[in-house]
Amino acid sequence: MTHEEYRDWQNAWQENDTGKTPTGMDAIMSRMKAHDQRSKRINLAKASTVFMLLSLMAFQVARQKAPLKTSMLIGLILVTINTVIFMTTLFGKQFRLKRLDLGQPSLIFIRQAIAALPAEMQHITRHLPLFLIFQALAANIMFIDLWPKLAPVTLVLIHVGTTLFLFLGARLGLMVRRRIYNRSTVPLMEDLRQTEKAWSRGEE
Amino acid sequence: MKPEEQHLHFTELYDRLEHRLKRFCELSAWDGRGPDLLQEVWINIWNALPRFRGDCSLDTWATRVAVNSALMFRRSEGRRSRHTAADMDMEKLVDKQTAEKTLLIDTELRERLYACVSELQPRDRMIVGLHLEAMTHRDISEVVGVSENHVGVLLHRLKPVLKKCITGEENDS
Repeated sequence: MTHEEYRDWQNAWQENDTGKTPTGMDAIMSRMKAHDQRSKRINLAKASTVFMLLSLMAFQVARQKAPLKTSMLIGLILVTINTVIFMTTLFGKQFRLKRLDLGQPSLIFIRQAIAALPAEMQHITRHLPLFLIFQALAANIMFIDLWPKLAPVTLVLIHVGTTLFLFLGARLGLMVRRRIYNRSTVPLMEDLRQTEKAWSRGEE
Repeated sequence: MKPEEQHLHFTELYDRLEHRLKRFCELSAWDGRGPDLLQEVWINIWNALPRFRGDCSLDTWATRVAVNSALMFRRSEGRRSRHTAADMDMEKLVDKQTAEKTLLIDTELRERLYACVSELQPRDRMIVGLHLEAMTHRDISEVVGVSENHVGVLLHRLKPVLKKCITGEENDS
């Protein structure tokens, strides 16, 4: 193939100036603002949900006429600490992916993305069992003295039911997460590995 | 980087690279989702601009952001759609993209060129796409992160494939 021939291709390619682009500078800027606001709204919603749940718990405790029982206090502290640790480390993994430097040479970017992509799922599968055990433990501790007049059988049923509810809920959540992961992240990682292999083949 | 500076750089980049990045995104995204990828690329460029360190030209840096955004774009595609590359009927895809391009491409060569480049693997498409934008081996090597020689090797391997597709003849180079 001659240089001239290839130059013709390049010219033909670039002559396609994509016509009048539907997105002018102003449209791009307004879309960016919309995107920025959407991200802020999502983050605000997440923070509000956590805040509301904690406030609700605090409110429930405060409205009790009787003094706060030690078991309730221990349970609440355990739930709060456990949730904060699990969620902050999970957000950290998500944040790591968002903070990948897109301005790096692609081969470096690909290697970092391959390392960062499975981190969130690995975190969940590794730490979810321990998180659940502590949540179940905390919930059961809170319930110890909550209903002193209930029959022992009913109390046992409440404890078992709460524990089962927690574990089944988590199992369902994990299934949904894994499905999304298998559909979006696994093919992407395979694609990135193939690209990395193809682009770096013969480099070393 | 000050907000005014960010805005200025962004405007300059937009004026210079608007068409190049649009062509690149249309080539790199699946199933006519070029406009979505293009929007994501510009958003990423805007967001990443404050982290531009000046270790390469601004155009090279923005092209890196575009290539890396295109590489990651499949993640959001996977979330929205069950289709994977393997599931896609390539023939239909090329037909659809070519049909969408009919208004823009009015010569046979451009039409064939676009169809043939679209048939390449996405990673090869990106390299060829950048080279068709008259980016040098050095520019492409800075974007991708491999040596100039290796870019040459990759293109040397891809050009005969393209020629064979475009001319319909056996490779003679």
